[in-house]
Amino acid sequence: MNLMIIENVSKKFGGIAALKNLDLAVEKGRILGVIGPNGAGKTTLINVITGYEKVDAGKINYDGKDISKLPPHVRARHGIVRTFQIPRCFAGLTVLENIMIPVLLRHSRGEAERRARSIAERMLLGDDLHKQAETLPVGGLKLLELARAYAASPRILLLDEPMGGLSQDRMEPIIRLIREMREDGLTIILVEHVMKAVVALADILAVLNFGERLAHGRPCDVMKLKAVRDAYLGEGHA
Amino acid sequence: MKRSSHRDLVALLLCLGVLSLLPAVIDTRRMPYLFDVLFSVNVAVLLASSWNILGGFAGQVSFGHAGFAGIGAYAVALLPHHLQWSPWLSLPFAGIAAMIAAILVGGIAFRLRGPYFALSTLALAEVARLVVEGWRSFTEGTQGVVIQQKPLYLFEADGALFYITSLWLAGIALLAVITIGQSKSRYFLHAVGESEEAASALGVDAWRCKMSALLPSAFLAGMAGGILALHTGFLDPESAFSISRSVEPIILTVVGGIGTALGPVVGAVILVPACEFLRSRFPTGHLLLYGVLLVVFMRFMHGGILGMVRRKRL
Repeated sequence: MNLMIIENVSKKFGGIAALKNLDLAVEKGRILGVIGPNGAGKTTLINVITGYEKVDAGKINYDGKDISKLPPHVRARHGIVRTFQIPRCFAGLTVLENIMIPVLLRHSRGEAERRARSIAERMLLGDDLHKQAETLPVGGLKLLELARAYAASPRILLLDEPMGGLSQDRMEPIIRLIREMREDGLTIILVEHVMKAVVALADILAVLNFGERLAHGRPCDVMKLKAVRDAYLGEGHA
Repeated sequence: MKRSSHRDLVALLLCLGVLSLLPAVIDTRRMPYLFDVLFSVNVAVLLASSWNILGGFAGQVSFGHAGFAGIGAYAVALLPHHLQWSPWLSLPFAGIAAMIAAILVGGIAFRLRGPYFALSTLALAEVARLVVEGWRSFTEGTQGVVIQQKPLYLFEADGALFYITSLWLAGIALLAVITIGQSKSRYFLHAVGESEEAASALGVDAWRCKMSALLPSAFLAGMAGGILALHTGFLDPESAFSISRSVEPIILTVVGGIGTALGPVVGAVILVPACEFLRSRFPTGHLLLYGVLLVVFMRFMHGGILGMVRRKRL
């Protein structure tokens, strides 16, 4: 069953089309990987789904309702939660306070703190609870961004390059956490350049190129396509 | 309410109670200058605390608090002028008038991102000044309005009454700051101040959040303008919307400790008397010396005086 259906969505910036008549569907409890070269429209896709950019044409159906006109915070409250390519943690707050913020919207301070601690432990941030967010290394910031988004009780989580800028050993725990979230029933859209992570995680893979859907299907099938190799992967991935 | 909130409230009420007794101990007629300075400190605490709610807690910098204060001042001046109300009874309307202006400014500017709010507050003060200057039949224009200092019930409109009124208004401002500082909203305000996009992505309604800081801030600034106008007994557009009234609360808050409840108090208690002292001792060069003093504070006290004290403790 599809949790989100993107129907014929277009978005232009000036004369440049970032998304062209894009159709995509995201099945409940699955991970949709989205890959493509720089400028393919991957982050724009996240921005239009979460309401940071308005669509020029088309519809975004979520759980049977058109959400194209809702503002970002309302979409987030409906369970459409995102992370950012460059982590936007609240530098002046501690790790615990960062995670508490979305929980405080629904719960008392005591309950929010209890839940935030539990999420932090799960997200490998248990030892950093009282550190200022600005003191964390890149890997820590990526984990905090993930933890904070998870704390917002998402039904669909949109991850914008969660492995970006991380070394191999820092990627492993994030891959494991994303897999665990999917096993908990969470639906995920994963925009990522690191092919190893995409292949390890995605149930379905969509390839974007110049704002259009170039290919869509199981990762092993998609990666064999000549058009995909030419546009993005190169011959080495054949 | 948490135990720390009770403790802070009791401490605040005790301080206000003790300070309210000052006119009973010191005769205001024998030391009018002292009470003038204390009045200025109280109003500075009120105005700086109001700025701190918006600029310190919510990260929304206002360069035009003179606009809110000036509108409040004119509410206090014009209501008695046209409706023969008591100026004292007009005082709450100073806050309400400033809040109405804030709804107009914030309602539009907070829907935009970037520096639009800061610029629109700057514009508010200037537009309000031009309206007051141009609408002579209602505001007396550049001639100004005289505000009669009438008694408040049995109390004479003397230094003691102005001191106590301003003291309790400053107390209300502090109470507002303490309440915000200990509420859940503090986290949302901070989040929106740092990154509106990131806060929205978590479900925080950034517009409502910013308005929830702007409205009490404007109300308190309006009250500050109102009590100042009452104390001076005369109001003209030049003084009501003076740029220094926008700059002063920023300086006091930054020097004291931005985003802390006591920062504006510390800033006002140190800088207002210091400025008065320099003005009396060096009538020609006091502003230059005041400027040097500010540069020293900014250079050596990151996070303000409270920030420095905290670092020393650690």
